[in-house]
Amino acid sequence: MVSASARRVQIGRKSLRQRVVKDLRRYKYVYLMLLPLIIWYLLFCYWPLLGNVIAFKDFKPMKGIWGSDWVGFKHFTSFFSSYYFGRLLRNTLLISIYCIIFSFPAPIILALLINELRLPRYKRVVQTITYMPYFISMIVICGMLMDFLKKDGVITSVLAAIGLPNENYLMMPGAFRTIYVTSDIWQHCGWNSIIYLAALSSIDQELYEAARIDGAGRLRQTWHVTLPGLLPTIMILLIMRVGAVLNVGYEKIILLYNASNAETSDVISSFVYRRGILEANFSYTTAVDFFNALISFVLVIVTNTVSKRKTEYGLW
Amino acid sequence: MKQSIRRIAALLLAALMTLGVTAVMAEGPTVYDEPQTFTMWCSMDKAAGAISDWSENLVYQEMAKLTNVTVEFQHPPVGGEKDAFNLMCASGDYPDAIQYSWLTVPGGPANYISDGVIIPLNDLIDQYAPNLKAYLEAHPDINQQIMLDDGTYYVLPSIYQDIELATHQGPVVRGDFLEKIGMTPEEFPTTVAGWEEMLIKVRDCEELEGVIPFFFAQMTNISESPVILGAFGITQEFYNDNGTVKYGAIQPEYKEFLALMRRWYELGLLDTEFAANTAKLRDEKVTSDRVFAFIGSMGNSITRYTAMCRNENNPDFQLLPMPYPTLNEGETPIVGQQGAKYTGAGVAITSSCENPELIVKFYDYFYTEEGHMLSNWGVQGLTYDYDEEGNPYFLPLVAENPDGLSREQAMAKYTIWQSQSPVYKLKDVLEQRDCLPEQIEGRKNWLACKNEIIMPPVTPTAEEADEFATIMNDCTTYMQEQATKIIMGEVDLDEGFDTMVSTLKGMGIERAIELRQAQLERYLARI
Repeated sequence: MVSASARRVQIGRKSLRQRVVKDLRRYKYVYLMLLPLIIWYLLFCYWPLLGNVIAFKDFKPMKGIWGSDWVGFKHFTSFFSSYYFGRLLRNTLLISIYCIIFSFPAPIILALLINELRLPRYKRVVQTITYMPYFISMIVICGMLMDFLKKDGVITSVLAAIGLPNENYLMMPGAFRTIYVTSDIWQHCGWNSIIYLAALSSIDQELYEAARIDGAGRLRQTWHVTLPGLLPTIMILLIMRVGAVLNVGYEKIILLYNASNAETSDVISSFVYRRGILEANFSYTTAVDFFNALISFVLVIVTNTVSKRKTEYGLW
Repeated sequence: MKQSIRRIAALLLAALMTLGVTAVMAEGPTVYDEPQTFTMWCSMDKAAGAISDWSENLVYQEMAKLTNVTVEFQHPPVGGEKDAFNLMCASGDYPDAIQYSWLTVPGGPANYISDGVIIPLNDLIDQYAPNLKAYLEAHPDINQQIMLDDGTYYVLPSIYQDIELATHQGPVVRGDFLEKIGMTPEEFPTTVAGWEEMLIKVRDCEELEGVIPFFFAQMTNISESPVILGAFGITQEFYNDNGTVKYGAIQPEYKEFLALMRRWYELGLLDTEFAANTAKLRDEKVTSDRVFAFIGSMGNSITRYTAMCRNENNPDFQLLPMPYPTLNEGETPIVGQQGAKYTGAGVAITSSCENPELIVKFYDYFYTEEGHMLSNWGVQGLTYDYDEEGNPYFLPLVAENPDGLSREQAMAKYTIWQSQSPVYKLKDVLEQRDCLPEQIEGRKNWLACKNEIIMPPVTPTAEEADEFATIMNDCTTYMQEQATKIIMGEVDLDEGFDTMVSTLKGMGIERAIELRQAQLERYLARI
C-alpha cells in the first residue's frame, strides 16, 4: 500500500502530457491494437449520436439530417400531450418493474440451485434444458402463447381444471402482465443464469472450507459465501437493468397486442412503432427515444450511487 | 422476320419522336440493340412461395427477350414491406423504380414528389408512353384517379379493365352447413333480422355443435367490412354522403350496429374470442369445420380453403359467396366492398434514375393489346391458348401445374396479373382463377350493391398528410378498443358510445373530416 501511494505521488508530479507520452511509448503495440476498436466506436456509436438532432427537426430524407427544418420541441410536446401518454408510461413502467421484481432474481436462484447439484452430468443436462428456450425465436414464442392461451388451449385447459375461466387469456387486460413476465422468465432464465454460474466458479473454494470448519450448513454457506461472492455481478446487472426501465421491446408486445388487452399491453415502444415506423415519422420516434435515453441516464446514475453507498459495488 | 420488322418500326418510331411527331402509336415494344437494365424495388406479393425473385417470372423473361431490357429486382422481406419501404425512402438510397401501392404510403404520394423521392411523369408519359397516353385520353375517369390534385402523374398505373375486379370480399357461408339447418341457398336471408334467425338456428343445431355461427377476426375485420355495417348505410371510416364527407363511427347508425353486435355476442352468435383472433386462427377454425359464416375473399378464402378442405374425408365442404344483408326486405344493399379501378398500385420512377425514358417505354408496352395478352396470360401455346370462340384460357401448365403449384401461385409465376405491376388487368382472367361454379355464380351477389357512398381515391397534400395521420392514429386505436368493449358488454352501450363520440371529437376527428372534405372537393375538381 505504502509503495503504491508513493508511486502515485511520484507520477502525480509529472505533467499529464509527459505521462501520456510515456505511456504511449511504453505500450505502443497495445494502443495500436486498441485503435481499430476506438475507430469503430467513434464511427458506429458516437457519430450516429449526432443524428439525434433530428428529434428537434422535421426530418425529410431528401434534405438530409442537417438540411431539415428546425422545429424545436414540437415532437416532444406532441408525445407528452398525446391522449395515450399516461397509459403508455404506466404500462411500460409496470411491465418493467414486474420484470425487475420477478424475472431479475430468477436466474440468480436458478444458478444457486444448479450450483448445489453434485452430479456433473445431471448439472449439464439441467443447464442445457433450461437455456434452450432462449434460442426459440420471439415470433415462435408468441405463436405458442397465442395457441396455448386461446379458449380450450393447453394452458387454458389446465387453468380451467383448477377453477379459472376457460376463456382466451390474451383478451383479458388483467392477465397480460402475468403472461408477459412469466413467459419472459421461462425464455430467459436459463440463459441469464450462465453469467452467474461463471461468477460462482470464481469464488474461492477455501472460503467454503473455512465456513464448513466453522460449522456452516449448505444454506448458511450460500448466504455467507456464495451470495456475497455474486454481489458485484448482481449489482452491475441490476444497475444496467434499471437503466433500461423504459425500454420494453416492441416485438413481443406487437405480437401479443389486441384491441381488448391494449389497456395494459400498449407500451411506449409499440406506440412508437405504430406512429413512427409505420407512418414514417422518424423525427417523432427519435424524440421519444431521446426522452427514454435521458430517463435511463438519470436512473443509471441514481442506482449506481445508491449501490455504491450500500454495497460498495458500482459501474464506476 | 417479324422481329426485324418490329425493330425497324421501333427505330422509325424513335426517329419520328425525336422529330416531335408523337401521334403515331407504337405497336410492339421498344427494342434496344445494347442490353439495358434498371433496378426496381418491389414486394413479392402473391409470388412468394412460387418464385424467389420476380426475374424468374415468365413475363419479365419474355420482355428481356423481346426488348433486351432486364429488370434487377430488390425485394423487401415478405410481411415487412411497409417498414422496408419507409426505411428505404428515409435512407436516400433509391433504386431506379419503385413498385408499390401508392395510395397507402404515409403522407400520400404528393409528399414523395415534394420530398424528391419520386419524379413527376407528365412529360415522360407525353413523350414516351403513347399507348398509356391514348388510354388515359379515352378514359377520363381513370385519368382523374391516377393524377394528383394539380394534375401531376406520379405512377405508371395498374388498371382494372372492369370494376368487377375491384370487388373481392364479402359474406361467405358454409353451403353444407346451410343444408344441415334445413335451408337451401335460394332461401338465404336477405335482411339482418333474417341473418339473426339463421345464426340462431346454427347455434341450436345439434349436428353443428361447437360451430361458431358468425366469425370475424378482431374489430378491424367486422368494422372495416360493410358486410353487416353496410346495412346501416354507412362505412366505419370516411364515406361520401352526396358530396359531404362523414366519419362512420360517430354516426348514430354506428351505435345501432354496435347494439346489434352486442346482442349477437350475448346470444352466443359471435366468436367469444373475436378480439384475439388473427388470420392464422381463422385458417385454423375454418378448416377444422368450426365456422359457419365469415367475411371472406374470393381467392384467399374460398379458393384456398376449398383446395385445402374438399377431399375424400370432407367431400361436401363448400363455401358460398352470399349477398349482403339489408335492414328491410327487398332493398338493394347500400354499400359492399369495392375498390376503384386504380387501386394505387403501380411503378414510380425515383430521382436517382438516370434513364427514366427506358422505364416508361418498357412499361408502355403493357398498355398495348399485345402487351395485355403477355402480362395477363403469358405466352400463347405455353401458358394459354384460344378456344373455338376465340376466348383465351389457361393451359395445364398454369391451370393444373405439374410442379404442384396452386393455380394462384402458377399465375404469379407465369403472368403478372396478380402483381402491383403496371398492367391492364383483364376481366376474363379473374374467372380463370376463381373458377369454381359457386364462385362464378356467387360473384354476382357481391356486386349487387349501390356503392354510391364509397370515397374515391383522394390524395392529401404533403402538409395535410402529417396532421391527418397524427389524428387518425389515435382515433383508430381508440375507436377499436372502445367498440370492442361495447360489443363484449364491458361498458354500457349508451354511455360507452357517447364517450366514444366525445373522445373522438376531442382527438380532432372533426378536423380530420374537414381535411378529407377538402381532399374530396379537390378530387372532384380535377380535370
